[in-house]
Amino acid sequence: MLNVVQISKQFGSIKAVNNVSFEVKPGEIYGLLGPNGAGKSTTIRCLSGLTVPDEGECLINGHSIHSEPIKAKQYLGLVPQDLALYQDLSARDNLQFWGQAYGLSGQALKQRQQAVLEQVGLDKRAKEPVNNFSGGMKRRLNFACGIIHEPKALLLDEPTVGVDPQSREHLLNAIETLKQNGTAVLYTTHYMQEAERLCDRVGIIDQGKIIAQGSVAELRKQMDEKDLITLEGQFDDADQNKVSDYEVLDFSPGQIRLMAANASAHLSEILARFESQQIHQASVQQANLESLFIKLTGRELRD
Amino acid sequence: MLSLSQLVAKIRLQSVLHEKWGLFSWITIPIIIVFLMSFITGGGDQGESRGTLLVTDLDDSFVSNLLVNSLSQGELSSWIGIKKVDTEEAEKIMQAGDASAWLTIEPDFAEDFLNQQPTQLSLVKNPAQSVIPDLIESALLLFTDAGGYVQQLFSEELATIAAVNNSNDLSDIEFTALSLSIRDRIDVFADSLDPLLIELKERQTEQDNSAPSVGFGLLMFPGAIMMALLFSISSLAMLIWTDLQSGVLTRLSASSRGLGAYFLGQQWAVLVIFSGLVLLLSVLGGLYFDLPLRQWPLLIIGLIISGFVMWQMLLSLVLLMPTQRSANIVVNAAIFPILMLGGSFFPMEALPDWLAQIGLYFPNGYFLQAIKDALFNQHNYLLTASLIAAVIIGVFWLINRALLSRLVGQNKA
Repeated sequence: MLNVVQISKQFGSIKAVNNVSFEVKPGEIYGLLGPNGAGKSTTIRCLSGLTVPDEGECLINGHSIHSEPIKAKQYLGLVPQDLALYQDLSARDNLQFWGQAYGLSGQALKQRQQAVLEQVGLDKRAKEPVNNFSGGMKRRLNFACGIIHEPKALLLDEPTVGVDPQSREHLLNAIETLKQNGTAVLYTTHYMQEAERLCDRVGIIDQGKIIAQGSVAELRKQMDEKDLITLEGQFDDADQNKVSDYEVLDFSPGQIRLMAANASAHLSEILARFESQQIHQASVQQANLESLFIKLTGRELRD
Repeated sequence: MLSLSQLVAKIRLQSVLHEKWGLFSWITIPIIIVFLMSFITGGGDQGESRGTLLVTDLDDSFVSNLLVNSLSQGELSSWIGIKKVDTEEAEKIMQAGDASAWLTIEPDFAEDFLNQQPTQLSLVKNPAQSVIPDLIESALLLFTDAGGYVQQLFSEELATIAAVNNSNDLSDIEFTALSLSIRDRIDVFADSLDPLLIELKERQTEQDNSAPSVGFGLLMFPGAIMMALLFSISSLAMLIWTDLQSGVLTRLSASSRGLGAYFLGQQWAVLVIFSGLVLLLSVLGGLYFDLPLRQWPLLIIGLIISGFVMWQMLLSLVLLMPTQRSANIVVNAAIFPILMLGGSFFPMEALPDWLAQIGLYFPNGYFLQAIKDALFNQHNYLLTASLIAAVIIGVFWLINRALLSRLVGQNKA
């Protein structure tokens, strides 16, 4: 349903997207995971037709978004990172506007308005102006406006940023429902937990390139099922030799990160190699996407 | 159900009505400016200002009263109001600048006049005024000349009156003789006086046959309505940036028909807002300045179209800018010279010729002048102006549609 074929986009001297390719099938959630500035939003903008890539093409159900925009866009829904809502209008009026923008009208529109309001849990607040909503409620309405026309392909650009847990839960449940209904969903985020929960496949993007791609299980295998150990304290260059028998991901005067299978069993032995006053915090993290990101880039997802 | 573009227009109108203070300022600022300017300059056809002549009559005689009364007769009375005061009060009023001039009639004025002795009238003029005080001085000079002729022609009769003035004793025979003498004297000169052998005839020039003069306020108020429209353009154009920054335009452009309908909806909204503003202000101004009813449609339609032209042009400027802040700065920087030179703060008729010529090159100046010429000067080139307006609207419509798509594509929001 969604095909991104070797797209690149440069802004000045910065290559925001560099030869990115992936596809999203119907009924699949593909997560694009990466830190801020990695190229996620630019990829979304290329797919939605807002930005023309310098190279490559983006296809929605086989139609190029740039050469056949009208055909391609009829399948597309977009939930942008910004709250694309009219603040003075009520939730219902916003849904009417966006429904009409997507070509709905009459009874069909009214039915969809009610359905999405119930889906995101805003049916009881439908007549209130959006100004009165909390941030989480606005996010839910923002999502509802993007799916009112039941798109076959949905682009979600960090839809849960700044959202309270209750609203996040509403949104994630709604997205899972879309998947069950056969919608192809592209979900960009820098929250590893969301990607691990929702996504069938994940592409890890950094500095415009996809550095790893596959199902969550496949990506974890790239970690060789090793856990991530993080030591925080005061270290000098000589301390690196104390852990040379482990896979060291990152070494700095304030932090050491290394990989070890069954890390809990090894932790005390590792700590013993250092003088007691050197380390003031130690943690163990099971193999996950964030540890894979750190392994691949040396940085955290939130850097 | 409304179409998408109608819905967009409705949303825009609601947001404008929601911002009550903005709407209030668009309407009231031009009204205040017009009324202030009108008040300062005397307004429409309300007649010229009337000056005040203070008179301190220290003689208080028949002759002095005759002089004072003659100053308040005929056409002079439409220019000069007379107020009799004593010296002290006159000094206070002149210090405050509340009179045009102060005439003092010295004691023994009547006796000296009747006895053909030198006498004097003293006049103090208000230095802050020029026209009325000079008018008063000219009138007094005429009277002093006339008085001189009377002294020459009726010297004997005046001496008789002087004697009566002193003694208060004139018999019936003496009164009859005096009257006959005056009548005989007048008969001698009657053939030369009525009609005057030398006649001053006013010749009408071509310019005098043109339309009657129009008051300052009436000339100014179409420009003031244009001012209201230009103020509103600044706000309305920036609302598009607000929609862009909020993400509304981003999502609309990802739909198959959203951006086109949005653009059309904005145009509808602007037309409705302009129509409302022009109608309201035209009715207020038309009633106040007594504009004939048959001229109202031309004024209203002309201003709406002119305003729409300005909207298209200034919208291009706003959509060309890379950021909301720069768009705001540029459009406001452009509006003030447009207002000043294009006949909104001052009607072009009040500007120096060379400045007025420059103003005609501004679209608002050109269209305002076309409207005013059709209304007041009977020079009608509205067909040409309408064609120009249609071309400008058409061209800039297409440009703005393309600029909007480009702006949404470039926006990183």
